[in-house]
Amino acid sequence: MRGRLARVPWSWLLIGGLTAGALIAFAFAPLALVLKEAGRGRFQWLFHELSEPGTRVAFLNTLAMSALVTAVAVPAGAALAWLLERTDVFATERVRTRFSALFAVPLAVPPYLLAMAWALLGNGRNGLLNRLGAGAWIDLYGLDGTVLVLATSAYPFVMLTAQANLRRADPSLEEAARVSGAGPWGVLKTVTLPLMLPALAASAGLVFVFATAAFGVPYLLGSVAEPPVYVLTTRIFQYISLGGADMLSRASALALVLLSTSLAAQSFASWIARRRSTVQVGGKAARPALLRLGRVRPFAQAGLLVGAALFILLPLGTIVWTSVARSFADPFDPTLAHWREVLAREETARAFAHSVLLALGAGALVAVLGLVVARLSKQFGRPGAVLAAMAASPYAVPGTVLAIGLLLAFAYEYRLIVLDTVTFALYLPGTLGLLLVAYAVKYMAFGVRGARAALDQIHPSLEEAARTSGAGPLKSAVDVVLPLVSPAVGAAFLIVALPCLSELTMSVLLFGAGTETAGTLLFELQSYADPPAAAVVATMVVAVAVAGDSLARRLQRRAEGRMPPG
Amino acid sequence: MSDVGLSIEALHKRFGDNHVVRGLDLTLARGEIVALLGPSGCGKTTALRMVAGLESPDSGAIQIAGHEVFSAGTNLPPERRQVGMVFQSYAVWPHRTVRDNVAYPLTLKRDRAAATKADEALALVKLPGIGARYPDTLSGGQQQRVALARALVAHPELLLFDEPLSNLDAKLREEMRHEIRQLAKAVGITSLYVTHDQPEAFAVSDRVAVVLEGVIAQLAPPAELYAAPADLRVARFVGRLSLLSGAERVAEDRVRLGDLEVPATFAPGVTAGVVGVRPEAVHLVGEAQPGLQCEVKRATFLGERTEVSLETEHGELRADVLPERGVRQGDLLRISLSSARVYAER
Repeated sequence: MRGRLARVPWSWLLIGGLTAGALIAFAFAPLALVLKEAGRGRFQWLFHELSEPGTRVAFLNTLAMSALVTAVAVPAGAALAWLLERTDVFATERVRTRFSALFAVPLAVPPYLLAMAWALLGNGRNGLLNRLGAGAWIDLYGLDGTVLVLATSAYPFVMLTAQANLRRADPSLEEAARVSGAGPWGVLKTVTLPLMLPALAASAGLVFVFATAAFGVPYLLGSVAEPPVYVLTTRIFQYISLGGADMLSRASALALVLLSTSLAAQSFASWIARRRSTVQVGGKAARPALLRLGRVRPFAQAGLLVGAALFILLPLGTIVWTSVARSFADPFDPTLAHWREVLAREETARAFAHSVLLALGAGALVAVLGLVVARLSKQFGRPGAVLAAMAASPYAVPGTVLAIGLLLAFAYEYRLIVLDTVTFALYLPGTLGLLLVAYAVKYMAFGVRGARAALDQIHPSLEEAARTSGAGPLKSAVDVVLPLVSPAVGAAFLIVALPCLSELTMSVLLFGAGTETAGTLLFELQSYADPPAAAVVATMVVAVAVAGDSLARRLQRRAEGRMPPG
Repeated sequence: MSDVGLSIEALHKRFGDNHVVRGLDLTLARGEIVALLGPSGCGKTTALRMVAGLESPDSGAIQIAGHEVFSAGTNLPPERRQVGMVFQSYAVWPHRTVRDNVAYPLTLKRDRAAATKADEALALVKLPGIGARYPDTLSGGQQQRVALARALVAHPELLLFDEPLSNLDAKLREEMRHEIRQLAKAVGITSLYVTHDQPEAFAVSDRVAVVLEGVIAQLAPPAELYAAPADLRVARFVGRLSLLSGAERVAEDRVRLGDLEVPATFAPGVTAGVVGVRPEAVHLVGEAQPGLQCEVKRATFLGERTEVSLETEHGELRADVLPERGVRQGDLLRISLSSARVYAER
């Protein structure tokens, strides 16, 4: 619905233009540089890399890891959603809601924190699990542990998508099947599952892409395994940390492989999603009668409780426990010594200050620019769509690739093409500015998407009513549009700020001396094998992440609740 | 073979504190079409869903064609109740072709001729030759016909309609209610039809059950329901009604309003009270004839008639007059009444 819209103030056009320029300078040009670097000498480095057995193994490992994560996370998420939404596994709505929230927790926790926890638990030699059970021998280092952790991080996304689908679906579709003579399982097989299939397939694609781009988890559980298991992202990191001019070219070549893999998976996913969108919005908001599990119910309940305890509470508990444990030998003798010690370190305060600053900055930038881009894209058909697509596309690029591009741009290329004075201001490597740019560019998609959805919900008549009441274009935008979209913009701010607060994949490639973040601090503490100190920092990160996530959800619900039915 | 198509006894249902269905009794003869008519929230849809097995009653009993489907000891799931149902939102599955939608109940019974029978059912609802298409290429009216074919295809014992025409436009609605009745009668299937639309209920059904506050307030054929509502609540819900006060009973079947004597019926157990008058019982008369003097408070031209609101000394009276009379606000008129019904005052 494109009614006639109020004229956009020229300042917005200016901001839109600047945003486009920034996206070109900080995302598209750097990506082009990756291509150029990989293509140096007629793609000799690309061919060189492709002929390396190590690359081939890393590539295959990436595919295997992503496929396995998808194969575990999608059925688990779908089954959870179905159990919670369509069966009487939990008696009351309250309990059901609580458990839905509990099972969604891993979404808010940075995956590499879960990896840290499982590294503490499942180390083949001195993991906690092996200390508890005498003679037990569990080794989660390697591909299996990586898949376990990534699947834990990814299933909530599938679950939430499927839950939303099940709630939105018209219940009479399933009731009609019951009345036609299908039993509960028949309904699941012939109606519920087929209706959910396109959405499930699309989220499977996204899970695959998520796993392909993952860096922290395969690094913490794979690179240090015996023998080490490398994937594309960790191999790129290895090249960069080895240093040397050739290494940057080789990393670029690998980045190109990673980018192609990720884009191929994404186009496959969106192709499936577009094929047939089947979920219909319900006429009545009633939930269809819940399936009685009967004798299976206690088993289902026990399964869910054990699952939650094992995959969510155990790893998070381990982190907290490690931060207060005096020694592994005596688990029931808590101490605050580690906390005092870590909090007293100057680097801790600095890293957290940096992360908070970056998260607030990136969140605010994305929220404001996202709103401007969304508004412009609504106003101007073709150029607006191009701008929106430009803003959305960096998110589709794995963080590692984006970071390599920025490294190339700012460490080498831009210094040559920009005047000396400007170069000084733009000489970003090793400054927080580079990280800010990386975060904002990467997550710009969230700001645009959130604001656009909110704007689309506002029926033109709302703004028109203000206009006919005597408000000018700016006044009606401020009085009507802004209040209606503000929860969505607030939610976008938090949705961007939260991952930035603990970002690792890009930060680890872009940070320099004096610009450590919470993510890189954790990474270093973990690498230098200081588990108690790492656990203290991790506990703080988890606390902030989970609290911020619940706030973001509340805002998002308000954003939806405030929307008039359109 | 029993000749009872559906029997509902003392049906109760609460949702939390909300006692939605409060002891509903209803019996349908085999092949009969009964409409459950009531305002929103009266419990009619809940009652229908309990018959289908989509909600569980708190107590009561339901028999479909002589088979017990719900009682103190039994609660058959929907798939074992031998019913067909047409939903307000059509509920046509978007991931199946039209033919697969219609054939579904037969497929579940492993009927080898499912596809052929589905095509026959589609022809029955006047949609031949569209079996291979997907529902999203059909209009709302066509989708509802598909839903009707699906409900009929397995020859259920009972057909349930949950406001099936509410999402269609006015013209299509009139066409469809006529067709639904014809089809149900041709097949001879017992049908329970929920609607809040009075003309729809009258057009479709053999008898209308007015549901108010979770019980059936009156069950009667449409004409009887309209002419002799059981009480004031029913009278107000069915058709337009004006209420006049100050009437005096002068005979077994007459009341007097001023110097006008009016033929009247009395609601059961009522001897005096308010007088209910339908608009079509109001007639304009000359000065010499007995009648009531009144003033036109409002006149609304509606095309084929002009609706007027008249002020009499007994209260406000709504009536229809022919537009060519040119009645206007402020005119003084003299009217007589050809029929009235007396209700207990409440």
